[in-house]
Amino acid sequence: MYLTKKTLEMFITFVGITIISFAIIHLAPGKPTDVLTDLNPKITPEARAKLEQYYGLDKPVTTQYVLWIKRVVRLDFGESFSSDHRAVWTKIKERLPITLYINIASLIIILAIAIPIGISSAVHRHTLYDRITTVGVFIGFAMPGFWLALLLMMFFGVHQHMLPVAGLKSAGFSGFSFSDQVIDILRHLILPIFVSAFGGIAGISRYMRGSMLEVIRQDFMTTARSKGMSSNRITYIHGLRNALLPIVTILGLSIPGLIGGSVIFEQVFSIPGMGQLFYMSVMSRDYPLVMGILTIGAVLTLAGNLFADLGYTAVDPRTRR
Amino acid sequence: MKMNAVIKRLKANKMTIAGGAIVLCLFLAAALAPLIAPYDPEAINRQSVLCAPSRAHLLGTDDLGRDVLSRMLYGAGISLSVGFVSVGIATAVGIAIGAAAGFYGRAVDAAVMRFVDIMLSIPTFFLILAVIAFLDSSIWNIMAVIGLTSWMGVSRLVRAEFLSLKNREYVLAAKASGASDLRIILRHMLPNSLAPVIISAVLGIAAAVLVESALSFLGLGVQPPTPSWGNILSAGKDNLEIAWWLSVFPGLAILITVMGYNLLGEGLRDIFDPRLWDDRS
Repeated sequence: MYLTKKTLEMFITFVGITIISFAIIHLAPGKPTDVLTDLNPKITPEARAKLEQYYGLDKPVTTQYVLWIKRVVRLDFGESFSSDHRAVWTKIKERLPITLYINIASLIIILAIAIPIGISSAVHRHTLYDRITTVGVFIGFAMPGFWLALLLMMFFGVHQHMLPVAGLKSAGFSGFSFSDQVIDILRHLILPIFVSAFGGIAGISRYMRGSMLEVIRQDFMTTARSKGMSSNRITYIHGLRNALLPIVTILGLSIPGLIGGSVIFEQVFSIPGMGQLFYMSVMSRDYPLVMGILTIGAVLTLAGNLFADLGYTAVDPRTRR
Repeated sequence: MKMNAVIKRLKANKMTIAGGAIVLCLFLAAALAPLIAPYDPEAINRQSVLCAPSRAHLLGTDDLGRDVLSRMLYGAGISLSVGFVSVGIATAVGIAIGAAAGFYGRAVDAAVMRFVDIMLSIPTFFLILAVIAFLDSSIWNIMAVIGLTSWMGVSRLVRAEFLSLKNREYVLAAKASGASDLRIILRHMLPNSLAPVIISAVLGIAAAVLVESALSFLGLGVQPPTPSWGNILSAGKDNLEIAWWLSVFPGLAILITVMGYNLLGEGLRDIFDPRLWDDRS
């Protein structure tokens, strides 16, 4: 029952997202392609004709949308404007995995660091430790990700030569042994993953602290204490499980930010992922590619939200009815 | 709430004072930029390209020989105006949508809140970039795009406040005496739900400043020669090995500014939210 409801909601959200994405191409006044050509003299008449045909721009808007959505569900986003003329989906497909790996790795790191910090600063409230983490969280909230990336690049790459600061592979990568290849890629990924996780660590640890404080005050915690259970047992068995619930929701809500952030760190660290592809497509006004990545990004977010809902079901038995 | 109590809490709250002081400094820097900036922020000087900080150029010069301190002072104005205008747009839209949902309830509420959920599940930064790909990246477009993609939080707050105010006696009395819906919303309900909206607006400015700087850093925001902290940093990235000052100072300015708004917002929340009064964490 719960899952059916969630699936229905997700379907409505998907339709809504596609309508908003579709509306963007009609932002420009007049016929979309007119303005596109004015803004971008590089678009050839041939590309323009293709775009008009792809969107069926001679038909009414509702028909256009239906035609477009029919193609989108088959992952047909048309052909890129760039000189290679490859299909948009092919271009996205080869860059998607690396973006996903980095985002999943940073999610895991966010959880692994933020939850213990949040719990311990709630349990040891008003101590020096709590104050230090609070200051750290405030700095983390305010830190622009791209600036952190620049500082790390400056420190590790330029001054220390400890870690590589651009791309995924060192020169001569294909000559390395398998284990060296793995180590090489991991060394390239440390900084991007850290930058991508940084803001989330601050946010989630703050929410975890708040959520834990709320739970500590609840009646059932007092009951457990009055029954003579040990303090640690109460905190970690009774408290943690209840305090995790809101975090699962917030984690779901933070996925769009993570995916959006990949544009920044992939651009700064020259990671050949979907974010960098999106940046390049925006810069060159490669509209089919822009629309394709926007849609895929939204679908990824939906998938993330679905996982968050499943996680919620796993932690909260009340939703299983 | 009594005014005395507010003042007392304000005095005791160092966070708010620190945040307010930072924001005030920013206003002063922006307002006084034409008077105190040592150089023309857009004047290119081939003789002083990428000079390290010195007495002549306190924060150094950029790759076109422009004075970084002057550019940063003028950039403060850009950052302030983007923050305030885009949050103004977001707050207006959020109040209108949230008020409609909370006041009319039922179908309106359900439809509006679904729309909010949809907006929340689009990666906002992708949406902003996509819109900018279709429009020009003028400063007005950037303010509008940031504003129109960040109203969801406000609308949720206003809706929640309105739901709890809807059946208060004074609202019912106004209804019974035949006041129009608009009048009830604007005169009776909105003033009583402003505190959380103002707090979220202050925090929203912080977020807007971050988004603008990221866009300008990527070359899709405020376009040179107009100075913005983000586009100075963009030059910093290109000269990372030789000109640390181009990357360090503007980034620090963004960090301090965003922290200022966050401290102010969080501090105001502590002052105005009675739920936090006893047993403050």
